Amino acid sequence: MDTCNRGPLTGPAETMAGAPALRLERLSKSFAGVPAVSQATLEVRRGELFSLLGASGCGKTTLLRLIAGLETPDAGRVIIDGVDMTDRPPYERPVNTVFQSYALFPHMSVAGNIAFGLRQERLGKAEIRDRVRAMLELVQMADVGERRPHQLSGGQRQRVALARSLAKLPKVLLLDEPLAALDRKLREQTQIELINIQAKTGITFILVTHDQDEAMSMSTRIAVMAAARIVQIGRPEEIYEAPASRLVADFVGRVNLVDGEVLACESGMAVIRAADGSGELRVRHGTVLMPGAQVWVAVRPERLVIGDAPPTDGVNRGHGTVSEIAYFGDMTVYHLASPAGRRVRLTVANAARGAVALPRRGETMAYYWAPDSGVVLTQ
Amino acid sequence: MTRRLSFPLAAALGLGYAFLYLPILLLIVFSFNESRLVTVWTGFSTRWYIELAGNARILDAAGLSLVVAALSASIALILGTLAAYALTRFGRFRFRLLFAGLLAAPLVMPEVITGLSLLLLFVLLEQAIGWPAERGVATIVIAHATFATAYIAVVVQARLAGLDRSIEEAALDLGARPWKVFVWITLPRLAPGLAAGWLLAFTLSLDDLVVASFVSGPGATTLPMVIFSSVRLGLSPQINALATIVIVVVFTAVVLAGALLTRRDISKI
Repeated sequence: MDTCNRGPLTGPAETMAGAPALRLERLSKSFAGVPAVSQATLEVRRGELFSLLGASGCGKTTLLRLIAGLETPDAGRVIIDGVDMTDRPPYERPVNTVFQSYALFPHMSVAGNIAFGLRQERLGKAEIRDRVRAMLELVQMADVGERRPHQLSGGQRQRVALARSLAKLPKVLLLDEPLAALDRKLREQTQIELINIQAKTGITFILVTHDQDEAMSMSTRIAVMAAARIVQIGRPEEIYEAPASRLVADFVGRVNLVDGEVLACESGMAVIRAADGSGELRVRHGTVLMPGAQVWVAVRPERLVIGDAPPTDGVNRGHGTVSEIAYFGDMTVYHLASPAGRRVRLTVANAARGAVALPRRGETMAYYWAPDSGVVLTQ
Repeated sequence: MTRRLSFPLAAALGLGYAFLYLPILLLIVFSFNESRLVTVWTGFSTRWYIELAGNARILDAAGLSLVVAALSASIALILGTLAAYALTRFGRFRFRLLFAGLLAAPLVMPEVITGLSLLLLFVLLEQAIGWPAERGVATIVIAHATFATAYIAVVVQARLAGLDRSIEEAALDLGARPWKVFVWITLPRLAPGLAAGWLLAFTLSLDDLVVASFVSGPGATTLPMVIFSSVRLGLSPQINALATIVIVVVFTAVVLAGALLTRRDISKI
């Protein structure tokens, strides 16, 4: 597993001290012989907002259910707050889950839903009432305590589900696609609220999502999953800037990939010959690459700059015919067809109104990028 | 949203209903007939109901039938619910298909065969272990519970399959032990299905003549058995009155069961 230690570690997660809130050791689970989670190992620090990111069917929900105890692993350990919980049933684990469907108890009021977990702890009536009220206030639902779940909107149900799971003050809160059922505006608003609630309570959140924007904007760290495996763990910017593989580069954000062969690698600068014969590329790379190795060069679309390259040495150049233009308001996306037949994606931030005369469809467009802008991927 | 029916359709519907319910309607009407002759209308009267109230033989049989129906429905409710729970919640266990098939078999088994086979079993048991010493209430209850279990299993199974598993998981996740989850979460969600199943079993037991005739003894005569034997001796308006009451009871139970099952589930989110 690539732990990705390139770049300075300055994220908020790194400043947290103490035992990890959660540790998974080589956790595996198959259903009818098909692996759903394979050899998952990770550590989540206290107070983190950790995301499990992956396409649907990659095993991220199964991993969450293994942590909650709703599935039993075939192998591996689940250690919560320093205690091995692998063989404990869900009702003995100090974790709570916000289910994707919210799973509110339909025959109980909102307050009854929130009180349910507290009643299992045999708390006093007065204390339960106070905790329920505090939770309703935390999620800004103080006036709906007596309503039934079916009388609430989707967004309100989501808050009740959150309040119900937070009421027991778990060591780890698990959220299974908590925002998937909300519309876009409400989703963005709820993202911010979730971050605020997490900061206020200090509870460790583990969030399952297939939405990379959600994972990027909310998380302290992200574990990217694909085909039952964790393929990379890192802070959002590490995942984006230094993806460990083509798979991660392609899944998180958009990327231009060029395959080629390493010609030379000296003092951190790799020279790579593109397989399509379009020339040599220079990429600054941290590790040593053996000449002759088959690699891929990944460049983010926003790192390509329109125009003729300045006469500085070592800049990669390219050009192509504009085949598609998509205007998004804040930016414009160009698709170019390179002479070698490759599709190149390039985005331009629309910083000033009508500032530059931008190319039109069918025109030839030149671009360049600096050696620092690309990443060499070996797998 | 209601669509007006065209004349041929309405006529067909009317004929259909008439075919199904005219005999029952006639029976109810003639139960209020003053005449002793069942088929001759002379005037309105409730005398047969009053006479019925004084008929100890019929009242005893009715009481016995109610006891048998309530007991057998309750036993079947427990067994059927357990079976349904196993079929929907235990995954694909070994012999699951066989179990499901055997459970459903009494639904299609001719009552004569059910009754005869149970009678054979009871006789053999009596010879082997001395129990049941004589056939009566206990054997009828067992027999009725046997076939009612199948009906209840089907009703409860449908209800269980429709329940959202994640609600039970959420309760587990919130710290409730499995039996508490069952009592506080599953059972309340299952209640309409259980009530409907119980009412169905109750009605089936109340109606049954064939199975009861096989497995009952000299001391235990259920209501359908009394009606059947007295009708063979000749029609009596008292039986009309009795039948009317039975129809009302059964009709109420069936409507109630139907309402419970189809009630729009406010809880479904």
